Amino acid sequence: MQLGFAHRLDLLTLVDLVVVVAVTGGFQLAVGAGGAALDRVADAAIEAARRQATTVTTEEVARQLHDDREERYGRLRDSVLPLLRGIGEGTLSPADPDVQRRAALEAARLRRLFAEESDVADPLVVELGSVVDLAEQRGAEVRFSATGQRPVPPPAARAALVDVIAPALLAARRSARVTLSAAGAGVLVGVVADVGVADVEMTDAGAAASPEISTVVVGTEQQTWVEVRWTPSAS
Amino acid sequence: MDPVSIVIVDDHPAIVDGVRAWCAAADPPIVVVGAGREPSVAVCGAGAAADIVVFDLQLETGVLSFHAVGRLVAAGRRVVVYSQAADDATVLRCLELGVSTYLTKAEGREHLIPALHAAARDLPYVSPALGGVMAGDRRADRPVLSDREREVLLAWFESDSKNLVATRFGLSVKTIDTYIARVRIKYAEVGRPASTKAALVARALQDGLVDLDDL
Repeated sequence: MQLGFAHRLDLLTLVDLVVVVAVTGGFQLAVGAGGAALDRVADAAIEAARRQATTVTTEEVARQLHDDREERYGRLRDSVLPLLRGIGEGTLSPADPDVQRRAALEAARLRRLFAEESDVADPLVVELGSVVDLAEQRGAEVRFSATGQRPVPPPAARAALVDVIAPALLAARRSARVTLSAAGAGVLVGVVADVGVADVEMTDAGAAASPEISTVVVGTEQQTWVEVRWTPSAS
Repeated sequence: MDPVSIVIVDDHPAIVDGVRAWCAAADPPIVVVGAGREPSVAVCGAGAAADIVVFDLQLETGVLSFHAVGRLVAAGRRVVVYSQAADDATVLRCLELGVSTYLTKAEGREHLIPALHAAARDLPYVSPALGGVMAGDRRADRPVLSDREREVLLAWFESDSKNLVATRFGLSVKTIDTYIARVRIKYAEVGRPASTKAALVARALQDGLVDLDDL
Protein backbone atom coordinates (compact mmCIF):
# COMPACT_ATOMS: atom_id res chain seq x y z
CA MET A 1 0.00 0.00 0.00
CA GLN A 2 1.34 3.38 -0.98
CA LEU A 3 0.96 5.88 1.79
CA GLY A 4 0.59 9.58 1.11
CA PHE A 5 2.79 11.93 3.09
CA ALA A 6 -0.07 13.37 5.12
CA HIS A 7 -1.26 9.90 5.97
CA ARG A 8 2.21 8.98 7.16
CA LEU A 9 2.31 11.97 9.46
CA ASP A 10 -1.05 10.99 10.90
CA LEU A 11 0.20 7.53 11.65
CA LEU A 12 3.38 8.86 13.19
CA THR A 13 1.36 11.03 15.53
CA LEU A 14 -0.60 7.97 16.55
CA VAL A 15 2.59 6.00 17.05
CA ASP A 16 3.95 8.85 19.16
CA LEU A 17 0.92 8.64 21.44
CA VAL A 18 1.16 4.87 21.72
CA VAL A 19 4.84 5.15 22.60
CA VAL A 20 4.08 7.65 25.34
CA VAL A 21 1.29 5.48 26.67
CA ALA A 22 3.66 2.51 26.74
CA VAL A 23 6.23 4.57 28.60
CA THR A 24 3.76 5.32 31.36
CA GLY A 25 4.80 2.00 32.80
CA GLY A 26 2.73 -0.99 33.75
CA PHE A 27 0.79 -0.69 30.54
CA GLN A 28 2.01 -3.19 28.05
CA LEU A 29 0.23 -1.82 25.03
CA ALA A 30 1.69 -4.49 22.82
CA VAL A 31 1.62 -3.16 19.30
CA GLY A 32 1.85 -6.44 17.44
CA ALA A 33 4.85 -8.66 17.01
CA GLY A 34 6.80 -7.62 13.93
CA GLY A 35 4.90 -4.69 12.48
CA ALA A 36 7.75 -2.94 10.70
CA ALA A 37 5.55 -1.51 7.97
CA LEU A 38 3.97 1.77 8.86
CA ASP A 39 0.41 0.79 8.03
CA ARG A 40 0.78 -2.42 9.95
CA VAL A 41 2.02 -0.51 12.98
CA ALA A 42 -1.14 1.56 12.91
CA ASP A 43 -3.30 -1.52 12.42
CA ALA A 44 -1.51 -3.24 15.25
CA ALA A 45 -1.81 -0.19 17.49
CA ILE A 46 -5.51 -0.08 16.81
CA GLU A 47 -5.92 -3.78 17.41
CA ALA A 48 -3.85 -3.60 20.56
CA ALA A 49 -5.81 -0.62 21.79
CA ARG A 50 -9.05 -2.48 21.22
CA ARG A 51 -7.85 -5.68 22.83
CA GLN A 52 -5.69 -4.35 25.61
CA ALA A 53 -7.62 -1.25 26.51
CA THR A 54 -10.67 -3.27 27.37
CA THR A 55 -8.91 -5.96 29.36
CA VAL A 56 -5.49 -5.62 30.90
CA THR A 57 -5.32 -1.88 30.92
CA THR A 58 -8.73 -1.17 32.40
CA GLU A 59 -8.04 -3.63 35.18
CA GLU A 60 -4.68 -2.05 35.69
CA VAL A 61 -6.21 1.41 35.70
CA ALA A 62 -8.83 0.37 38.20
CA ARG A 63 -6.17 -1.07 40.47
CA GLN A 64 -3.77 1.82 40.11
CA LEU A 65 -6.48 4.37 40.76
CA HIS A 66 -6.21 3.42 44.38
CA ASP A 67 -2.66 4.56 44.75
CA ASP A 68 -1.08 7.96 44.70
CA ARG A 69 -0.64 8.02 40.96
CA GLU A 70 -4.34 8.49 40.55
CA GLU A 71 -4.13 11.53 38.35
CA ARG A 72 -1.77 9.97 35.86
CA TYR A 73 -3.87 6.91 35.33
CA GLY A 74 -7.07 8.88 35.63
CA ARG A 75 -5.97 10.79 32.57
CA LEU A 76 -5.34 7.57 30.73
CA ARG A 77 -8.75 6.29 31.63
CA ASP A 78 -10.61 9.49 30.82
CA SER A 79 -8.93 10.70 27.69
CA VAL A 80 -6.24 8.48 26.23
CA LEU A 81 -8.03 5.16 26.28
CA PRO A 82 -11.29 6.44 24.73
CA LEU A 83 -9.18 8.01 22.00
CA LEU A 84 -7.31 4.79 21.26
CA ARG A 85 -10.50 2.81 21.56
CA GLY A 86 -12.37 5.16 19.20
CA ILE A 87 -9.64 4.71 16.62
CA GLY A 88 -9.80 0.98 17.16
CA GLU A 89 -13.54 0.81 16.74
CA GLY A 90 -13.45 2.98 13.66
CA THR A 91 -15.53 5.78 15.19
CA LEU A 92 -12.44 8.02 15.06
CA SER A 93 -10.14 8.17 12.04
CA PRO A 94 -6.40 8.69 12.40
CA ALA A 95 -6.60 10.70 9.16
CA ASP A 96 -8.91 13.21 10.86
CA PRO A 97 -6.92 16.33 11.84
CA ASP A 98 -8.94 16.61 15.06
CA VAL A 99 -8.06 13.06 16.06
CA GLN A 100 -4.44 13.68 15.19
CA ARG A 101 -4.52 16.83 17.28
CA ARG A 102 -6.05 15.03 20.26
CA ALA A 103 -3.38 12.36 20.01
CA ALA A 104 -0.66 15.01 20.05
CA LEU A 105 -2.29 16.78 23.01
CA GLU A 106 -2.63 13.61 25.03
CA ALA A 107 0.97 12.66 24.31
CA ALA A 108 2.12 16.07 25.54
CA ARG A 109 -0.03 15.82 28.66
CA LEU A 110 1.34 12.44 29.59
CA ARG A 111 4.89 13.64 29.03
CA ARG A 112 4.27 16.59 31.30
CA LEU A 113 2.79 14.41 34.02
CA PHE A 114 6.03 12.48 33.99
CA ALA A 115 8.20 15.53 34.11
CA GLU A 116 6.17 16.91 37.00
CA GLU A 117 6.07 13.67 38.86
CA SER A 118 9.79 13.77 39.51
CA ASP A 119 9.57 17.39 40.64
CA VAL A 120 6.55 17.43 42.90
CA ALA A 121 8.66 18.85 45.71
CA ASP A 122 9.31 22.02 43.72
CA PRO A 123 6.52 24.58 44.29
CA LEU A 124 7.61 26.53 41.21
CA VAL A 125 6.86 23.46 39.06
CA VAL A 126 3.39 23.29 40.57
CA GLU A 127 2.77 27.00 40.02
CA LEU A 128 3.97 26.87 36.43
CA GLY A 129 1.75 23.81 36.01
CA SER A 130 -1.38 25.82 36.71
CA VAL A 131 -0.59 28.18 33.81
CA VAL A 132 0.27 25.20 31.62
CA ASP A 133 -3.17 23.76 32.42
CA LEU A 134 -4.79 26.97 31.23
CA ALA A 135 -2.76 26.96 28.02
CA GLU A 136 -3.81 23.36 27.41
CA GLN A 137 -7.45 24.22 27.98
CA ARG A 138 -7.03 26.75 25.20
CA GLY A 139 -5.89 23.94 22.94
CA ALA A 140 -2.10 24.23 23.00
CA GLU A 141 0.16 21.23 23.28
CA VAL A 142 2.68 22.07 26.02
CA ARG A 143 5.97 20.30 26.62
CA PHE A 144 7.62 20.73 29.99
CA SER A 145 11.21 19.95 30.87
CA ALA A 146 13.27 20.70 33.99
CA THR A 147 16.94 20.22 34.65
CA GLY A 148 19.72 20.92 37.14
CA GLN A 149 19.91 21.32 40.91
CA ARG A 150 17.65 24.29 41.47
CA PRO A 151 17.07 26.47 44.52
CA VAL A 152 13.45 27.30 45.39
CA PRO A 153 12.79 31.03 44.96
CA PRO A 154 10.71 32.74 47.68
CA PRO A 155 6.95 33.08 46.99
CA ALA A 156 7.11 36.67 45.68
CA ALA A 157 9.85 35.75 43.21
CA ARG A 158 7.95 32.66 42.08
CA ALA A 159 4.86 34.77 41.45
CA ALA A 160 6.93 37.26 39.45
CA LEU A 161 8.46 34.47 37.33
CA VAL A 162 5.02 33.05 36.55
CA ASP A 163 3.66 36.55 35.76
CA VAL A 164 6.40 37.19 33.25
CA ILE A 165 5.97 33.98 31.26
CA ALA A 166 2.16 33.73 31.46
CA PRO A 167 1.22 36.09 28.59
CA ALA A 168 3.42 34.24 26.06
CA LEU A 169 2.33 30.81 27.27
CA LEU A 170 -1.35 31.73 27.19
CA ALA A 171 -0.97 33.21 23.71
CA ALA A 172 0.34 29.88 22.33
CA ARG A 173 -1.80 28.63 19.48
CA ARG A 174 -0.92 24.98 19.00
CA SER A 175 2.31 24.34 20.86
CA ALA A 176 4.57 25.69 23.55
CA ARG A 177 7.68 24.60 25.41
CA VAL A 178 8.21 25.39 29.09
CA THR A 179 11.56 24.79 30.75
CA LEU A 180 13.04 25.24 34.16
CA SER A 181 16.77 25.19 34.79
CA ALA A 182 19.42 26.19 37.27
CA ALA A 183 21.34 29.38 36.55
CA GLY A 184 24.16 30.19 38.94
CA ALA A 185 22.54 30.59 42.35
CA GLY A 186 19.16 31.21 40.76
CA VAL A 187 16.69 29.71 38.34
CA LEU A 188 15.70 30.27 34.75
CA VAL A 189 12.21 29.79 33.35
CA GLY A 190 11.82 29.65 29.60
CA VAL A 191 8.71 29.68 27.44
CA VAL A 192 8.65 29.33 23.68
CA ALA A 193 5.24 29.79 22.07
CA ASP A 194 4.23 29.44 18.44
CA VAL A 195 3.00 32.97 18.18
CA GLY A 196 4.57 36.10 16.71
CA VAL A 197 6.04 38.44 19.29
CA ALA A 198 3.70 41.19 18.05
CA ASP A 199 0.73 39.10 19.22
CA VAL A 200 1.90 38.75 22.80
CA GLU A 201 0.95 41.44 25.26
CA MET A 202 3.95 41.40 27.54
CA THR A 203 3.51 42.73 31.03
CA ASP A 204 6.39 44.27 32.90
CA ALA A 205 4.78 43.94 36.29
CA GLY A 206 6.94 41.05 37.45
CA ALA A 207 10.13 42.49 36.03
CA ALA A 208 9.54 45.86 37.60
CA ALA A 209 8.65 44.38 40.95
CA SER A 210 12.08 43.12 41.81
CA PRO A 211 15.69 43.75 40.91
CA GLU A 212 16.20 40.00 41.28
CA ILE A 213 14.10 39.32 38.19
CA SER A 214 15.42 39.88 34.69
CA THR A 215 13.76 39.08 31.40
CA VAL A 216 14.92 38.43 27.84
CA VAL A 217 12.45 38.27 24.96
CA VAL A 218 13.46 36.86 21.60
CA GLY A 219 10.81 37.16 18.94
CA THR A 220 10.37 36.18 15.34
CA GLU A 221 7.28 36.34 13.17
CA GLN A 222 6.29 32.83 14.16
CA GLN A 223 7.73 32.36 17.63
CA THR A 224 8.13 34.15 20.91
CA TRP A 225 10.69 33.06 23.47
CA VAL A 226 10.53 34.60 26.92
CA GLU A 227 13.28 33.83 29.39
CA VAL A 228 13.03 35.06 32.94
CA ARG A 229 15.77 34.70 35.49
CA TRP A 230 15.63 34.94 39.23
CA THR A 231 18.97 35.76 40.82
CA PRO A 232 18.98 36.04 44.62
CA SER A 233 20.56 39.32 45.65
CA ALA A 234 23.69 38.88 47.76
CA SER A 235 22.81 39.60 51.35
CA MET B 1 26.39 3.81 0.81
CA ASP B 2 24.56 1.22 2.88
CA PRO B 3 21.68 2.54 4.96
CA VAL B 4 22.30 3.04 8.67
CA SER B 5 21.31 -0.06 10.65
CA ILE B 6 20.26 -0.25 14.29
CA VAL B 7 19.36 -2.85 16.85
CA ILE B 8 16.90 -1.88 19.59
CA VAL B 9 17.22 -3.06 23.19
CA ASP B 10 13.89 -2.21 24.81
CA ASP B 11 11.33 -4.23 26.70
CA HIS B 12 8.27 -2.35 25.45
CA PRO B 13 6.98 -3.78 22.16
CA ALA B 14 5.16 -0.51 21.54
CA ILE B 15 8.40 1.46 21.78
CA VAL B 16 10.14 -0.97 19.44
CA ASP B 17 7.37 -0.67 16.86
CA GLY B 18 7.24 3.09 17.32
CA VAL B 19 10.96 3.38 16.65
CA ARG B 20 10.59 1.02 13.67
CA ALA B 21 7.90 3.26 12.22
CA TRP B 22 10.03 6.38 12.70
CA CYS B 23 13.04 4.67 11.12
CA ALA B 24 11.01 3.48 8.12
CA ALA B 25 9.72 7.02 7.59
CA ALA B 26 13.16 8.62 8.07
CA ASP B 27 14.99 10.25 5.18
CA PRO B 28 17.22 8.42 4.43
CA PRO B 29 15.53 5.37 5.99
CA ILE B 30 17.18 3.56 8.87
CA VAL B 31 17.08 -0.23 8.94
CA VAL B 32 16.13 -2.03 12.14
CA VAL B 33 17.97 -5.34 12.02
CA GLY B 34 16.95 -6.64 15.41
CA ALA B 35 15.09 -5.86 18.60
CA GLY B 36 14.54 -7.44 21.96
CA ARG B 37 14.41 -6.87 25.66
CA GLU B 38 17.84 -8.31 26.48
CA PRO B 39 21.17 -6.66 25.59
CA SER B 40 22.18 -10.00 24.03
CA VAL B 41 20.07 -9.08 21.00
CA ALA B 42 22.80 -6.55 20.18
CA VAL B 43 25.65 -9.06 20.26
CA CYS B 44 24.11 -12.22 18.78
CA GLY B 45 22.56 -12.76 15.35
CA ALA B 46 21.71 -9.93 12.99
CA GLY B 47 21.99 -7.32 15.76
CA ALA B 48 25.71 -7.94 16.11
CA ALA B 49 26.38 -6.16 12.81
CA ALA B 50 24.16 -3.14 13.47
CA ASP B 51 25.85 0.25 13.18
CA ILE B 52 24.16 1.52 16.33
CA VAL B 53 22.62 0.00 19.45
CA VAL B 54 19.55 1.93 20.60
CA PHE B 55 19.48 1.14 24.29
CA ASP B 56 16.62 1.68 26.70
CA LEU B 57 18.18 2.17 30.08
CA GLN B 58 15.97 0.17 32.44
CA LEU B 59 16.35 1.77 35.80
CA GLU B 60 14.47 -1.06 37.48
CA THR B 61 17.40 -3.32 36.77
CA GLY B 62 19.67 -0.74 38.36
CA VAL B 63 23.38 -1.07 37.89
CA LEU B 64 23.01 -3.95 35.39
CA SER B 65 21.84 -1.58 32.69
CA PHE B 66 24.93 0.60 33.09
CA HIS B 67 27.12 -2.48 32.97
CA ALA B 68 25.49 -3.57 29.73
CA VAL B 69 26.06 -0.12 28.21
CA GLY B 70 29.69 -0.19 29.39
CA ARG B 71 30.28 -3.60 27.86
CA LEU B 72 28.79 -2.60 24.51
CA VAL B 73 30.92 0.54 24.40
CA ALA B 74 34.01 -1.44 25.39
CA ALA B 75 33.28 -3.79 22.49
CA GLY B 76 33.47 -0.80 20.16
CA ARG B 77 29.72 -0.42 19.61
CA ARG B 78 28.04 2.93 19.11
CA VAL B 79 25.34 3.18 21.76
CA VAL B 80 22.51 5.69 21.68
CA VAL B 81 20.68 5.63 25.00
CA TYR B 82 16.95 6.28 24.61
CA SER B 83 15.51 6.33 28.07
CA GLN B 84 12.61 7.52 30.11
CA ALA B 85 15.08 8.74 32.73
CA ALA B 86 16.05 12.39 32.43
CA ASP B 87 17.88 12.91 35.72
CA ASP B 88 21.29 14.53 35.50
CA ALA B 89 23.22 11.76 37.28
CA THR B 90 22.01 9.06 34.89
CA VAL B 91 22.69 11.12 31.79
CA LEU B 92 26.19 12.12 32.94
CA ARG B 93 27.06 8.56 33.88
CA CYS B 94 26.11 7.37 30.40
CA LEU B 95 28.27 10.08 28.81
CA GLU B 96 31.15 8.95 30.99
CA LEU B 97 30.65 5.39 29.83
CA GLY B 98 31.18 6.59 26.28
CA VAL B 99 27.74 6.49 24.67
CA SER B 100 27.32 8.30 21.36
CA THR B 101 24.47 10.32 22.72
CA TYR B 102 21.60 10.32 25.20
CA LEU B 103 17.97 11.06 24.41
CA THR B 104 14.93 11.03 26.63
CA LYS B 105 11.84 9.27 25.35
CA ALA B 106 9.96 12.52 25.73
CA GLU B 107 12.11 13.91 22.92
CA GLY B 108 10.54 11.59 20.38
CA ARG B 109 11.29 11.13 16.74
CA GLU B 110 12.34 14.69 15.93
CA HIS B 111 15.55 14.11 17.85
CA LEU B 112 16.00 10.34 17.71
CA ILE B 113 16.24 10.14 13.93
CA PRO B 114 18.84 12.92 13.46
CA ALA B 115 20.74 11.51 16.45
CA LEU B 116 20.97 8.12 14.76
CA HIS B 117 22.12 9.64 11.47
CA ALA B 118 24.76 11.62 13.35
CA ALA B 119 25.92 8.70 15.49
CA ALA B 120 26.42 6.50 12.43
CA ARG B 121 28.95 9.05 11.14
CA ASP B 122 30.57 9.60 14.55
CA LEU B 123 29.22 13.14 14.64
CA PRO B 124 28.13 14.66 17.95
CA TYR B 125 24.41 15.04 18.56
CA VAL B 126 23.16 16.94 21.57
CA SER B 127 19.42 16.94 22.21
CA PRO B 128 17.96 19.82 24.24
CA ALA B 129 17.70 17.59 27.33
CA LEU B 130 21.35 16.56 27.06
CA GLY B 131 22.31 20.22 26.56
CA GLY B 132 20.42 21.15 29.72
CA VAL B 133 22.19 18.48 31.73
CA MET B 134 25.65 19.49 30.50
CA ALA B 135 24.92 23.16 31.17
CA GLY B 136 23.82 22.36 34.72
CA ASP B 137 26.71 20.01 35.52
CA ARG B 138 28.17 20.98 38.89
CA ARG B 139 30.54 18.06 39.46
CA ALA B 140 34.07 18.94 40.47
CA ASP B 141 35.61 17.02 37.57
CA ARG B 142 33.32 18.37 34.86
CA PRO B 143 34.87 19.75 31.68
CA VAL B 144 35.55 23.49 31.71
CA LEU B 145 33.03 25.35 29.56
CA SER B 146 33.24 28.97 28.48
CA ASP B 147 30.41 31.30 29.55
CA ARG B 148 29.21 31.47 25.97
CA GLU B 149 29.19 27.70 25.62
CA ARG B 150 27.07 27.38 28.74
CA GLU B 151 24.70 30.14 27.60
CA VAL B 152 24.24 28.51 24.21
CA LEU B 153 23.57 25.09 25.77
CA LEU B 154 20.98 26.51 28.15
CA ALA B 155 19.36 28.45 25.32
CA TRP B 156 19.19 25.26 23.24
CA PHE B 157 17.59 23.42 26.16
CA GLU B 158 15.06 26.21 26.62
CA SER B 159 14.08 26.82 23.05
CA ASP B 160 14.61 23.52 21.21
CA SER B 161 15.30 25.77 18.21
CA LYS B 162 18.74 26.57 16.85
CA ASN B 163 17.18 29.38 14.83
CA LEU B 164 15.97 31.07 18.01
CA VAL B 165 19.34 30.55 19.71
CA ALA B 166 21.09 32.04 16.66
CA THR B 167 18.68 35.01 16.62
CA ARG B 168 19.21 35.64 20.31
CA PHE B 169 23.00 35.73 20.19
CA GLY B 170 23.29 37.28 16.73
CA LEU B 171 25.22 34.27 15.45
CA SER B 172 24.67 31.84 12.60
CA VAL B 173 23.05 28.46 13.17
CA LYS B 174 26.36 26.92 12.05
CA THR B 175 28.22 28.77 14.81
CA ILE B 176 25.61 27.65 17.37
CA ASP B 177 26.13 24.08 16.18
CA THR B 178 29.86 24.47 16.62
CA TYR B 179 29.49 25.68 20.22
CA ILE B 180 27.24 22.75 21.08
CA ALA B 181 29.46 20.20 19.32
CA ARG B 182 32.53 21.57 21.07
CA VAL B 183 30.98 20.99 24.48
CA ARG B 184 30.09 17.44 23.50
CA ILE B 185 33.71 16.85 22.44
CA LYS B 186 34.95 18.22 25.76
CA TYR B 187 32.77 15.63 27.49
CA ALA B 188 34.13 12.94 25.19
CA GLU B 189 37.61 13.89 26.38
CA VAL B 190 36.90 13.23 30.04
CA GLY B 191 35.95 9.97 31.67
CA ARG B 192 36.73 6.48 30.54
CA PRO B 193 38.54 6.08 27.20
CA ALA B 194 36.52 4.31 24.49
CA SER B 195 36.93 3.79 20.78
CA THR B 196 33.60 5.50 20.14
CA LYS B 197 34.79 8.60 21.99
CA ALA B 198 38.06 8.58 20.09
CA ALA B 199 36.09 8.41 16.84
CA LEU B 200 33.95 11.34 17.93
CA VAL B 201 36.99 13.45 18.76
CA ALA B 202 38.88 12.43 15.62
CA ARG B 203 35.91 13.27 13.46
CA ALA B 204 35.42 16.65 15.14
CA LEU B 205 39.11 17.53 14.60
CA GLN B 206 38.86 16.42 10.98
CA ASP B 207 35.78 18.55 10.38
CA GLY B 208 37.35 21.55 12.08
CA LEU B 209 34.69 21.63 14.81
CA VAL B 210 37.44 21.82 17.39
CA ASP B 211 41.18 22.18 17.24
CA LEU B 212 43.74 20.64 19.53
CA ASP B 213 44.03 23.84 21.57
CA ASP B 214 40.38 23.50 22.59
CA LEU B 215 40.97 20.16 24.23
